[in-house]
Parts: sequence; C-alpha cells; structure tokens
Amino acid sequence: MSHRASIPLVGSAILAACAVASLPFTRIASNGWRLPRTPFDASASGNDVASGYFLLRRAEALLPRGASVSIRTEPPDPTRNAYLQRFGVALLPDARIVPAETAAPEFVVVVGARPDPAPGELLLELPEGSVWRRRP
Amino acid sequence: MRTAGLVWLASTLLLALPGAPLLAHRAFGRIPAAGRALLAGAAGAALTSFTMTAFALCGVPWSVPGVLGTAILLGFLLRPALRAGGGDLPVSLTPGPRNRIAAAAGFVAAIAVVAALLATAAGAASSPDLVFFWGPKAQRFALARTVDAVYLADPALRYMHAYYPPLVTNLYALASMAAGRMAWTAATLLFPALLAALGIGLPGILRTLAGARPAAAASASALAIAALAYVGMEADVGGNAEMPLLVFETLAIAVLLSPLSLAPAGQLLSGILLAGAVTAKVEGLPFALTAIAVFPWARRREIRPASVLLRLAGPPAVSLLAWFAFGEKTHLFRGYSGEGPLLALHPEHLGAVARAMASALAATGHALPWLVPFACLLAVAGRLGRDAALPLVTAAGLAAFLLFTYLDRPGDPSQWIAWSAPRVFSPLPMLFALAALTARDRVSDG
Repeated sequence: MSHRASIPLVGSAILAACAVASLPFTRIASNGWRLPRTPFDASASGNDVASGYFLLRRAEALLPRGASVSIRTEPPDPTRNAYLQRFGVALLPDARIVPAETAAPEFVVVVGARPDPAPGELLLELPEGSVWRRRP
Repeated sequence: MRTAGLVWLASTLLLALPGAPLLAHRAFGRIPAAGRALLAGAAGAALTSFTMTAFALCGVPWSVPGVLGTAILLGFLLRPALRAGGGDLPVSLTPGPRNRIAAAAGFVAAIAVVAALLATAAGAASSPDLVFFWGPKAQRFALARTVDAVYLADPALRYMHAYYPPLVTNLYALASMAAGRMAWTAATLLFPALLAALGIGLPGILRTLAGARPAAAASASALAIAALAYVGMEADVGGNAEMPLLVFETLAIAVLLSPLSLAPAGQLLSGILLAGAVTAKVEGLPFALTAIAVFPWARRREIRPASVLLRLAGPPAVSLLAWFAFGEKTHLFRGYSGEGPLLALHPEHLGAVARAMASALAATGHALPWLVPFACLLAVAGRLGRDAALPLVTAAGLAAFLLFTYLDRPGDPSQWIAWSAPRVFSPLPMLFALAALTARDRVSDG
C-alpha cells in the first residue's frame, strides 16, 4: 500500500469523523428530525437570527407593496436592530425598510417581547415577535 | 423546500451547457465523464457570469434564454482556441485497480458530504452574509434584469459592498429568474451540492496527474473534501461565495497540476476556471495571480511562458476588467478601491493579528481542517515532486495576501479576523492535499 494513498485516507477519515461529531444532533432530534423553519434554526449566530428570519418571512404577506417598515428588537438593542434591518432589506424586497430610530414608518416589526406601549394596531403576534400597523 | 427552491437549485445544472462545447472537445477525452461534467459546470458558470456582466455593461437586459444562449455561443467560439498549438494532450490515466483504498476514500468523502448536507439542512451551516448582501443583491438584480446600479448606489446599502465581484450575485440572479424568486434555503444547499459535485468529479481529474493511481487520487480528493466540509460546517459557508470560489480554485489547481496543462486546451480551461475564481471573491485575485506566476516557472522546461500566460491570465483579466468597466461606467466603484487605501500598513498590529488568526483557526474544529492536511503533507514532504511548488507557493501567496489585508486597516482587526479568517483560509487544506498528491510513491498501490 502506498503512503500517497493511505496517509490522506487516514486524514480524511479523521476530518469526516470530526464533521459528523460536530453535527447538532440534539437540535435535530428535538425538532423531530423535521426540516427547520429557517436556514438559521441551529445557527451559532444565535436565536435572534432565526427568530428574525421567521418573523420577517411571515410578515411579508401582511405588508402592502412599497410600505415603509422598520424592524427592531424588544428590549431595544441598536446592534441587533442594525442586523435585523439588513435582514428586512433581504426578506421584504417589496417594502421600504427605514431605520427604527429615525423614521416614522407605516409598519413596525418587533422581534422579541410585545412592546409597551403598543406602537399601533396589532397585525400578527408569534412567539418570535409581532407586526404592527402604526397609528397615523 | 418548496418547488421554487427545487427549480432554483436545478437551474444551476444548466450552467454546464456553456461549458459543454469546451469539455466535449477530444482534447479532454481522457478525463473520466464525471470529471468532465464537473469541469463543464465550472467553466460554464464562469462563461455565464461573464456574459451577464457584459450584458449589464452594454445595457442588454438579462433573460434566462438570452444569457445561456450567448454563453453557449461563447463556449463554441472558444473551441478553436483549444487546438491552437496543436497536438493531443499528453494525458494518460495511470493504470491501477480501483482497490479497497479507493473505495474507502469514496466512502469517507460521501460521509463528509452527508454531514455537510445534514448540517445545512438543519440550519446549522448557513451564512448570514447570504441574507446581508449576496442574496438581496441577486434578488434585486433578478427583478431589474441587470446589475442594478441605482440600488447599489443607495448610501443605506453601502454594507452590500457594490464593488464585490459579480459571479455569485449574477448566477444567483439567473437561478432566481428561472425559479421566479430568490430561494434562500436552496442557496444554502449549494454548499453540500457543490461539495458532492467535487467529491464525484475530482478523483477522476486527479487521476490525470502523472503517476496518480486511482487510490492516491481518490484519497487526496477525500482529504480535500473532508477538510472543506468540516471548515464549511464550522465557519457557516452555506449560501455565501466561499464554496463556488473553492470549486474554481480546486479545479484550476488540479488541471494545472495535470499534464493537461502542457497543451493549450488545458491552459485555456485553467484560465477560464481562474476567471471564475477572480470574479467569485476578492481573494480569488491573489490566488489566481500567484498560480499564474508560479505555473510557467514550475513548468519552464516543458512550455513557452509567453503564450501560456496569455491563455492563463487572459480570461481572468477580461472577466475582471469587464466588472471594473461596469463600475467606472456607472460611477459605482473604481477597481478595488472600496477595499480601502493600499499600503497603509499597520505593523504595530502584527501581534494582535497573529493572535487573532491563531485563535480564529483554533476555534474552527480545533484547527484540525488545516492541521490534518498539513500533517499529511509533512508525512510525504521528502518525496514531493517539483509540481508541489504550484499549490504550496499559491498557499503561501494567499496567506501573505490575507496577512497583508489584515494589517492594512487602521483599527484593531481582531473582530474582523474572528469571523473571516476560517473562511478566507479555507483553500489552504485543499492546496495541502493536492500538493501531497505530487509525492513520488515508494511502493506501488495495492
């Protein structure tokens, strides 16, 4: 047997075993081996990413074309807000995403707890967050 | 995943069509069918992206038949260049039985691909960059039927990096046009899908290397696949540009290591693959420049460097210049000036950069995706062939460029390194695996 063949084979077996061992088996099993709701359900980036993704996909159907929308977290966090705004640009392509801090949007998507006071009329509430139409 | 997602993924198979006129040429007849199909897909992807950039530059709106038809025509137009210089390719497959080692290597590679598939399907390997910029740009371009300069010029979208090379957004836009929408989950699944394509096609291409018996070629391929799978899972590359870049880089180096590269056909094919690399990600450029510089030196006894340079450097140069011309025409960007001032080095950050790089790689599977292939390389270091210079100098060139880039920013780059280093250093394990394959055998396979 050639070293040129056997050594890389051993190396590849070690790496493949490590790859299998790194799989999120607990997460997959707790989901009942079903496909996840979002591509980020078991992400190392944190639960925010999956929650934000899921809520924004659900919000898409509720928002009229061209509506101005801001996306924020509850409790407020400027860094997370900034990331979720970017998710909004991607996942709500027909909406006009405006910064939560500076604009007065027609709709507000809140990732996290229900905001108090309520920013307007509640359109959708899920464990991941809520969607609101602002009062004029 | 819904129908749109399946159509989105399946439409990427059409990219093999523009590459087919090239790979169907008898010059590549000795490459096993799976390897030729993989090369056709990669070459076709590069030609298709170039066509889309050229359309955008000339103001021609994209359509799936228009883009693919033009790219296929381009493939046919390039066919005569395969024969320039004449002669059959000096390629023969090294004889040897497909023994238990080759079978085991195929099995290990399959396990690595399945692990990557499970991780991606579970939502554990998706890249946030897909949602931050690759995906939204592609989605917008698909709606606009071109590279939408007005969209990219929006100051609120500066984080989308307008100057980033266009291949991934072009091809995602084409798939979105075919499917009728951007399919986010399907895009993440390109990671295991491209890994599987490499796993199936690469061993056959590596068998064209001089003296590479089936077992050695299959093992080297498995090592590269397993390393790329593990890095990709740990560094979350699903849906971003890493995997397409790695496919182009892997295939370009594999072809350049093969006797295929001694004839014009192989050189032009390598050039097209390098064109794919330079238009996939910024760091594809230093990779290609190093490979293009090293190849004529490594093969100086067998080739005429001037004509080789034209075939190797021509396609990447034309592809990138078309993109830069688009940036100039639309006043969006000038070359890679968006990367910041060049040569504004901050050597005082060297210690912090080195620590951050070591820490980032250590946090990615305990650095095993780099250490294991490097150990495999060291094990055969005394018997490496002259050809090993190509992957090893390319690895050194890429590493030097990345170090330079990290030192070329005014602030502390530790945070940036933490999330980028595992991804941008991911070609190194593949290069170590291919370099090890150039080692001379002490005893025959068997």
